Amino acid sequence: MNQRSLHPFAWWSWGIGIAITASQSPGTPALILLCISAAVVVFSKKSDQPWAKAFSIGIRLGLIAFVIRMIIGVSLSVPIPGNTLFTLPTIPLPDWMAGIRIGGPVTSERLSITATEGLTFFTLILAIAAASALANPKQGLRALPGVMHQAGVALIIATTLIPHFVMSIQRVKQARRLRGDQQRIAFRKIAVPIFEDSLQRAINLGAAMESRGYGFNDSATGRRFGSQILLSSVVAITIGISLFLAAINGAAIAFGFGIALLAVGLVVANKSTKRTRYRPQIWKGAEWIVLATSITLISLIIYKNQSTLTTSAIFILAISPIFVAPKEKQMITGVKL
Amino acid sequence: MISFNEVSLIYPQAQKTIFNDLSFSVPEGELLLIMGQTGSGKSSLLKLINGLVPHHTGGILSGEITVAGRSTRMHRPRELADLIGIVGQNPAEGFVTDTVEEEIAFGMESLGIPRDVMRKRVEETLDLLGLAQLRDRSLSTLSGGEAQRVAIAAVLTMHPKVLLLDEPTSALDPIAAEEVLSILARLVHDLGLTIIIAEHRLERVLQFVDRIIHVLGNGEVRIGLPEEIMAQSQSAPPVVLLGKDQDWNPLPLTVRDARRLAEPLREKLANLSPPIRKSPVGKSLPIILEIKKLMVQYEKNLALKGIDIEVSQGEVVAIMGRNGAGKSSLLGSTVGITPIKSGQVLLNGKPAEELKGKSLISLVGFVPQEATDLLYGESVLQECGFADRDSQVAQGTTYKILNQLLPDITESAHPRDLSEGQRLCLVLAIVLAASPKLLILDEPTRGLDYSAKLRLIKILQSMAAEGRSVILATHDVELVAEVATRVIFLAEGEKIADGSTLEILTSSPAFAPQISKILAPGKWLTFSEITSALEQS
Repeated sequence: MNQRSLHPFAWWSWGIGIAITASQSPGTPALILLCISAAVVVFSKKSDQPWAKAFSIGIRLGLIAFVIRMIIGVSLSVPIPGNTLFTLPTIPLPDWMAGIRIGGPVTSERLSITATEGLTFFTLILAIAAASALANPKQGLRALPGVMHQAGVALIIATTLIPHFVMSIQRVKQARRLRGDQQRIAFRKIAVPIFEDSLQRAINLGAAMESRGYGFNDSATGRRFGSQILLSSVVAITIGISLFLAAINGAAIAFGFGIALLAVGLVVANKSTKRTRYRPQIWKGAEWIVLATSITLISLIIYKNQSTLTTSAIFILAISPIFVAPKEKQMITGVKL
Repeated sequence: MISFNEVSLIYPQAQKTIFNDLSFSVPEGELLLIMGQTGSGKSSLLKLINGLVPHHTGGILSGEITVAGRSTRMHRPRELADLIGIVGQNPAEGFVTDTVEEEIAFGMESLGIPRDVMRKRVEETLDLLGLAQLRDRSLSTLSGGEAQRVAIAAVLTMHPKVLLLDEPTSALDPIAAEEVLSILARLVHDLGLTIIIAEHRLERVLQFVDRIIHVLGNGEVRIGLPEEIMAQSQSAPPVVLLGKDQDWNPLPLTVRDARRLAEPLREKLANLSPPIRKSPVGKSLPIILEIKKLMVQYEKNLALKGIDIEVSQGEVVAIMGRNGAGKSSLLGSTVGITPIKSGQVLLNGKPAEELKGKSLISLVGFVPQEATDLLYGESVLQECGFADRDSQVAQGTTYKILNQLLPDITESAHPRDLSEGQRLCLVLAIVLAASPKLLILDEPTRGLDYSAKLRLIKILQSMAAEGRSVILATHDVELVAEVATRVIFLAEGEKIADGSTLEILTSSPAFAPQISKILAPGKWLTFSEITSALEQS
């Protein structure tokens, strides 16, 4: 049972790499190849844990986005001259909306531009879905720096409580039947026992955590100071990314400043909590390789022009985790099959 | 190790003094049992020791409690976590993470223990509690006994000096309970841990304990050696009842002690025969429940693999077996709440899943494991009113039944504030309002003390005498010995034994009641059988 999962952050760096590449209009063949590599990596590496289903949900969402984009692109847009394929009936619009029209001739150029844009959306959604299907969210939350530990624990508890909640709804519904109650809508009769059950469970959990030393030696002031620095760093990084996407100068400065703040914030915040971590996620060779390919992918698309060579390089880089990453750990339930 | 100095505890809302002027001390390495009726304050006493009372629950505390010199007044429970480990009544509710190994490490992470020490302690603890096989398992898939062991492991890694356990065996089958208790005994002997257990099932724990604290419920407690406390106590396991009745000296606490002293009694009883259980096995009686080739499947695993059972009028059938053997699935299928894969469940000749409303509850009354699920009213009286309406009977019928079961109940009380035993009686009254022909109970004695159990036994016996059938799933061997006319044993979803109570219970040592262990090879099951046989002779 010597399975190892790739660090969740490595999977996210890979997913984000694909997403950024797709957003920089690499051309239709590259987009298709990116989708293929995302699918291949997910299907060969994913686990049977619940979050692995994120990918198929992503495919569906992506298809919906693609179809909506096509409908809008065909029926409502600025006219693009070219080879007319067919003509839709035009709906007249008031004068102040000149330049936009509904219906009218559909050219093959317009169709192809819309399709490429739709495909970009599709690839973006797929990339994010692929990362969330592969990265273990609980490990990810646990890998968060000490300051965000509390939020992480709260989220983990919330995710484990959902199945209990579903079970308690089921039990109470069965109890309705046992009392011979045939009323269809019985909000009170279902809500009251479930609410009391959940409340009791929360109190018990609170007591258990308290008596097991949760928050044994936290210093509140240090944590607050650390959080403030971290918050500022996130703002700076967000500004940097926005500037970059909008192609405005100064992106690098804002980005660099943000990263520096982040480092300071983490050091300050980690000093204030004296928690230790059992078996932290390891960041080893495979993680470095995945991160490096992701960075190469992004720099390639930013600094190189479209060419067959670039496209094939993109494909190789995007699919490379399949060779280095271990298969994600499967769920162990002990149920005999 | 632990000292109580003039401790009093009052919950202001309840207007009741839980403890009054309590003083005692517990030396290191002692295994102490807290006994007392439900609602008498056993859990409160445990929680006082690690400060959950009053820090987490409220209440007014006077006096001084210290553990290894640290006062619970000055320290919050989390600051005592390195000293005291507590395992609650339902350990699964206290799990924070999602796999066994992470759960065991959680407490140490909070305490800030260095990583290499953590790794070592986790391995040691996994071995100590026999959990190495389960280390990667998801916590939600553990059985009751496994969850209990994981919860104990999770506090042991913090190397506490004191371990507190609230009813560690009440939800477990006899074998799993034995396993947990022997681990506790080993911890006391090997590591010198001080362990305090609150427990109702005295017959299971008595042989392990050094001293007993008997919480009387009126604010007072009695502390002493097991023999002293048992000699005075009304509630006692069968072995002690028999010992007292026979004036055995010293009073036996274990089957072994009693067997040595029981030689004359065995001879006396050899000429007598146990009363024949009024099991109406006569073929003439109508069959109430008929289960044919029942299969139940959850996702990929089969919970029941083709079960055939017939229950006729007036029978009291006990369903036994390990946690997860399929008992609850079987019971659920009789009221149509378990989805059936194949086979048939017929109630009075009609398929159970097609019945509903009045036609269902007049045939079968079902008390689920979580009996409180059935309750949603704000007072006992209101709850009874709802039951009258659902069962379509005259106003006040349910309340009348409840009064017979429980004469001293407050009608304005909130159902959630009742004790476990009172709540069970309320749910029983609700279910009985429709006068069902078949009564089904899933684990009815979980959390019941001896007197509440005695009341339940009387109720079930009178129901059987009225010609109703009863089916109960339980781990409580002594209860089965008292009431059942027939026992069905399930294992891994299959019926492995089905026969008279005497035959089944005496055939396996793990499931034999204490009296039959003492008097074997004589075919006796309960204390009351012996007394009535001796009286008649």
